[in-house]
Amino acid sequence: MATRKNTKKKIKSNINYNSLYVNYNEPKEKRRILLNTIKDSLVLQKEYEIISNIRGNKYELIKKIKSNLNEIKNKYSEMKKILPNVKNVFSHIENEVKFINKEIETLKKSEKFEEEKVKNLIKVKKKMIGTRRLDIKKSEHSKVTSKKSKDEKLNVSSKKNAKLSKLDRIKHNIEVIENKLKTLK
Amino acid sequence: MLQKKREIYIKLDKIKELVEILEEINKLQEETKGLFKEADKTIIMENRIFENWGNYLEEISLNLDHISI
Repeated sequence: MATRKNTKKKIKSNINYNSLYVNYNEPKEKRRILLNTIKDSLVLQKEYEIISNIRGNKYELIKKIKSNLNEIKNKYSEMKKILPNVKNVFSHIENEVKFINKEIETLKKSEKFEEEKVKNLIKVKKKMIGTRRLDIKKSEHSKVTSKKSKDEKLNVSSKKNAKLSKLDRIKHNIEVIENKLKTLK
Repeated sequence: MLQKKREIYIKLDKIKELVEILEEINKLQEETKGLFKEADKTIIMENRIFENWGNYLEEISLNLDHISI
């Protein structure tokens, strides 16, 4: 009890010498305003908690979305492995068609060239056959003519021989033998 | 110029597996769509709360001005 009395005395002494008293107008209104501000601050605190919850949810959602996107990526790569490789099919086909057309053109050209070659060969062969026939004819003709000439010669000699008498023949033979002897010497 | 119609046929050996994978991809796609919608909603909620914060702070400052002695 003694301590309480001592403290009260101390406060009174302080008030007496150091405190300033101000007139407090409309205390009820001010109290209302204060209470409103406290209420607003409390609402702010409440909403801060809501925001922290929302941020947590958002983080989880983003995590889920990322994992889903990774899964989709993996599945897509698996699908790509299963599917056959058909990259740039149209361009490849166009190139192949161009190449085939070129080959066809070259083949056509070569065919034409070969046809011309064959025609030329046939012409040459025909010519050759014609010349051979002529040669054969000529040779036959020459053979015939040579035979004829031989025959004619033989005929002439036989005629001559026939015309010559026995004596003349002997003379002729002697002359021939003499000539041969001369040549031997 | 008339454009020629081209058709290409591709032989698929593992059709069953491919169909399963496509179904899974479709499911995941729908799930992610829902998740994106939820994320949009939460972002809108966050923005609203921030706007309210601004209003409350303005009110508090005005009240404190009135309280000044």
